[in-house]
Amino acid sequence: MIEFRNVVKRYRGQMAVDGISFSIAEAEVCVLIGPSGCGKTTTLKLINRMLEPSSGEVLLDGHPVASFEPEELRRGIGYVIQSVGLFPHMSVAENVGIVPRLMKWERSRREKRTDELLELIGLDPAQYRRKYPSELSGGEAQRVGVARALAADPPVLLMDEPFGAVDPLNREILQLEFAALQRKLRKTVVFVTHDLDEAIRLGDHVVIMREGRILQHDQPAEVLASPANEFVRQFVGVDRALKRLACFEVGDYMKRAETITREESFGRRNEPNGDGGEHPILWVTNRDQALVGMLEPELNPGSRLVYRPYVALHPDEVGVRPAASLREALSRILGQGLRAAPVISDEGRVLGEVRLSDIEELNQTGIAR
Amino acid sequence: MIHRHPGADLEKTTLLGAVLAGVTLLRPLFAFKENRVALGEPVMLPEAGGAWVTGAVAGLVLAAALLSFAPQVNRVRWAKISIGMLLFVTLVITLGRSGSQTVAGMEFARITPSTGFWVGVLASFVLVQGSLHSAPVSNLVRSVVGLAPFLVVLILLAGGMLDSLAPVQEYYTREARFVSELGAHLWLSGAAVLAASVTGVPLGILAYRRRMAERPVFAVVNGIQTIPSLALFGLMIAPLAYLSREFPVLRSLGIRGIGNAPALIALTLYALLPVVRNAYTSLAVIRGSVIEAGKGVGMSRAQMLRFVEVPIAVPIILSGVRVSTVQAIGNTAVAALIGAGGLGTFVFQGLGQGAPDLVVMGVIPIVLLSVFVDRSLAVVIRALTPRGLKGAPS
Ligand SMILES: Nc1ncnc2c1ncn2[C@@H]1O[C@H](COP(=O)(O)OP(=O)(O)O)[C@@H](O)[C@H]1O
Ligand SMILES: [Mg+2]
Repeated sequence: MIEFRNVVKRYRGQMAVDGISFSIAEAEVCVLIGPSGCGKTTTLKLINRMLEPSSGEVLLDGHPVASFEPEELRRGIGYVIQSVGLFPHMSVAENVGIVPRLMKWERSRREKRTDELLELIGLDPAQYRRKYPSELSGGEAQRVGVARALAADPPVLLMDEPFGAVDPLNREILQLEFAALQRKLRKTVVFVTHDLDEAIRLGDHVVIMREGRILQHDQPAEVLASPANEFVRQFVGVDRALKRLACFEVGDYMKRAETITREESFGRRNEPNGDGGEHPILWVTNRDQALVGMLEPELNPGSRLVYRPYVALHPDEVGVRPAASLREALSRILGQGLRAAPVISDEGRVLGEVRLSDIEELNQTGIAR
Repeated sequence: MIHRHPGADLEKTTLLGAVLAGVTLLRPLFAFKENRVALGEPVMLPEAGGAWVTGAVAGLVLAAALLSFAPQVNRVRWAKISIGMLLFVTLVITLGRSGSQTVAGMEFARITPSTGFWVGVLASFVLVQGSLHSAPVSNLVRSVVGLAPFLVVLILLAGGMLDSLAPVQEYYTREARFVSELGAHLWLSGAAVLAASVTGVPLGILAYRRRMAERPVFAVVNGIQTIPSLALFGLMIAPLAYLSREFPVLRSLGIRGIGNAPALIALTLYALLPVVRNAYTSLAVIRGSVIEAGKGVGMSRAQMLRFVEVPIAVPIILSGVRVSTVQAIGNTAVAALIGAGGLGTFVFQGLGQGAPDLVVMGVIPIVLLSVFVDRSLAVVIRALTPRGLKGAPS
């Protein structure tokens, strides 16, 4: 979808982008990451011709971007700029509707689209349409910035540190919203950040840059598992094993869970230990299959299998959803001091469990490579 | 409910208004003069208005004093505003009526308002604006209340009820001259502001766009502003007189060391600073990110102007023009000194002849003109300011 061919960008002798070549597939999120000044913004702006390369070329859908009219090109590429940059004198609706207006859509169609987009980003149109940027919180302004970029339904979206200016808590909310939105819209997204967690959470691919060059272009899990060089190793940090877990979904590592009803649990205190091997936690459910508690086997069983007394559990405190990351699962497991965490549905039903041993194994194989 | 300290209810502004209003009872309302240069005989309010009016004014003073201890709720605010208005109307009407009676049958006799009257007007202003200031009312109501006193005076003037006042008499003896000088005043200030806008806006834009130009442009326009206006007018005389002598063409165009030409040049130079400064600021307030966003959504240069730069910049530029206009109206008064005409002519004549009433006659229309132009431009600017930028510092 987007291809960089040996692109160089110099500012009066200073090298900003130093001969990069890479490509971005359709419908993927490619995250550009690296320290400040490494050329991320420059790379992004070369795509919509906000900047022209000193040499090399950028292709969009196989055509050099230089072959398009800059204004036409930009209207067809959503662009979320680094500092939001909402037009302060325009209402939220006018901001969101600016590209359709430049494209001379009819008013009614524009208004319909604006409302649609506000819904999409989770702002009630009736309430927000007529507000002005100065009346928005940081997070709301960022959302409006995204809506503005999406207005004409462009296939490509450029986002320059879109959540950089909001506090960590809201940033996480915005990231999750963006991930959900992207699952729905499937745009080709070039996303700039200097936040590694954000890159791992959102990127299908991560491009690590330094001083205008690409050091590594890979899937997030790969970057964490095998950094290309010492710089990347340091950049991703000492806790990369932990960070890497954020790349995996619980659903993919879920094992079958043993469940019993509360009535059945009464007799299960003490029984012959058939094989002498490891025994799973028995998750106790009610009539609706919802998690209510557990029976945990003693860790050093002798000839008899001994269960500890029944413990009541709250699904939201111990369970994880299938869409959660293994990193969350690990924190649940360690937080509860158990060997596994139950995987539960939205209704609290037990779908399976994730085991500490599986997570440890995954990390060992990952890091060893 | 917020707990309030008992003393917190004392409204100092209102109390000041009440005290000032009290002065009208103690100081002469006007001075009676047998002719233009005669010394005045003071006339007090009881003598001028009689028992009823005196009692009414005393009542208003008392009411204002009492209300200054009442909590600032809306009803109290409007009561104070009404007191202020009533005081004003009472004083003006009393002045006019008593004046006419006093001068009746005497050809050259006239009256001049004195301390009691002026302090009373000030009291009324304090009472009205002090309460209006914090009242939750629309701008329209604010303007109507603000303009009401002027309207009252205009109606009374038109009805001939203030004819006994010395400044009015000064006016009647020079009616034709007044109209022509008013025209000259308007023409001079208007032309100066127009010239300053036509040159100042591009200068401000240039100063913003070209870093090289910024310092020299501001050095010059700031420098001009520091020259006292009288000196600037004086400075114009010599070079223009010289040019006019050397080049007969210029002389035939009416350009001489004194008169319109030097005044217009000086006034234009003065009017430059606010225009240049605001034109510069109007672009400086448009954040880089906003321009970047405009480019990013695919605006052409023309669209950037139309959708972003003009809507944000124009109200700020006009604010500069507004300041400049009010200044020019004042400065034009000084231009009379170098023979350019305008309402300043009466002021300087009055000063020369030792006739303060003539000075007042010249000054009052200048003040009214400034207030009127200032308010009207404010309304226009408000209407042009996009809603998202209202209340933002500009
Ligand atoms: N307009 C410019 N003129 C000169 N140098 C610039 C300009 N824009 C960026 N640079 C330089 O180019 C390099 C890359 O900048 P940028 O792409 O903005 O970095 P990033 O977005 O990764 O922080 C930096 O060293 C920066 O100083
Ligand atoms: Mg950047």
